[in-house]
Amino acid sequence: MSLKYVLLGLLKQHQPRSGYELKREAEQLLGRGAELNPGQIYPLLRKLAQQQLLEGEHVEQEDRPDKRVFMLTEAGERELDAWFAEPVSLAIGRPALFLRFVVLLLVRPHGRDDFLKEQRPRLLEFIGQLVADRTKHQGSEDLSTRVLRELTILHAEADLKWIEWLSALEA
Amino acid sequence: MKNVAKNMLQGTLLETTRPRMRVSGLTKIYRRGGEAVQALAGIDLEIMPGDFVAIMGQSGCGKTTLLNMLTGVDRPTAGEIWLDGERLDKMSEAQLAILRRQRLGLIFQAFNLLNNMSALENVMLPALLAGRSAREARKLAGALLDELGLSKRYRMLPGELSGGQQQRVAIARALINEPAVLCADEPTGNLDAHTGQDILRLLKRLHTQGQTIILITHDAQVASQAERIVIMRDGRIVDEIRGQGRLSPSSLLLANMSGLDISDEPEEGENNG
Repeated sequence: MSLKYVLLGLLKQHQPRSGYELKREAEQLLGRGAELNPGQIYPLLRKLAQQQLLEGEHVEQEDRPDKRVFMLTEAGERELDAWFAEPVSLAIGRPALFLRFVVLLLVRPHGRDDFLKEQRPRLLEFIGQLVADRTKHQGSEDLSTRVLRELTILHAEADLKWIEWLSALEA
Repeated sequence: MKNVAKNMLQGTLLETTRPRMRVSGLTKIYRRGGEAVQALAGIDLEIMPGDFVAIMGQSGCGKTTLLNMLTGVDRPTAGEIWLDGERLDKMSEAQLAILRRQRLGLIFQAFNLLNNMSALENVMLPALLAGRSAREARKLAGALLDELGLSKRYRMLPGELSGGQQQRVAIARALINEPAVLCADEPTGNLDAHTGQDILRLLKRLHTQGQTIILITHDAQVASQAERIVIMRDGRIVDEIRGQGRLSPSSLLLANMSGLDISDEPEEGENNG
């Protein structure tokens, strides 16, 4: 998933917006802990403007430096709609835990039990911290953070089920 | 005088470091249609006073069988079970029934309240059976229900209570005789996620008040809240995890930004303008 659609969506919701506002709103939308590098946002905005998905406008300000604000073009709106119409990819690629497992087996052919012994406590501790975090914040947070945390917990539970399954697998 | 004091202190230390419950070499073999099924294959476990232990594993791992041994509901094929220095596996059925009622508190997935008795009456019952007067039992039951947020529900029947409320009545009932150990068998199994979290929070609070708790569960989110997690598989303990070491600052828990592509390279399948 690309930050591109976050930016297009933010402009669809409200425009015009400056690069600074877009960065701030995007970080908000992406949930607690999200940090975006300005060195990547501004070039992306430039690229999207070159692709004519956005338009930039120079705004003079009295007490402050001039700023550049962005608006969605019609092409940009169509691009966003086309993205919504695409099926979301469900493939998970090659997650870190998978890579760790297959490479471990390469160098340590009987490393399956080691893998389980190492990863199980980490996963349970991680789940424990997230569950405690959820309890601590009891509904006092933004939606993105809550749904992301829940997804993270469920992924960790799935990883735990997976490593248990690995250990029961015939060699 | 110094030696007497020293011996007394050591005696006290011994008291507080003796396990609340202990099993050693615990084995259970069932015979099913001519076949022997080993439900427990030699379990060794110690529960210290004030411990909060989760016993976790998939169905069939033996965790319920283990609980049945600890609560005297079933008898082992071999091995020893100790509660506060007494052997359960040597007790009679009558003694075990009293033990379950007075020294252990049990809560279950299905609540198991008596449906034609009120919340208050359900909670009072074990106290009455233990020999308390009706007045004493009513007072203790009322205090527990109040502490668990049920002060307006004394007279309601289980059928008039939500799942979470029923489980809290069950917890009050389990606590009324101040049990040495509170045993919870999948206590959140019949509850929605939010209510389950409330019950778990309640158990954690009881633990900070000093209650020893054994929690049986297949659910990692539930187990993760205990201090110790014992993992069972195929009738054996395969791992034990002492939880909650250094906690990550909450800001870091969700900070990984991998998967968010902000490079200049177009992705596979991306619409190109």
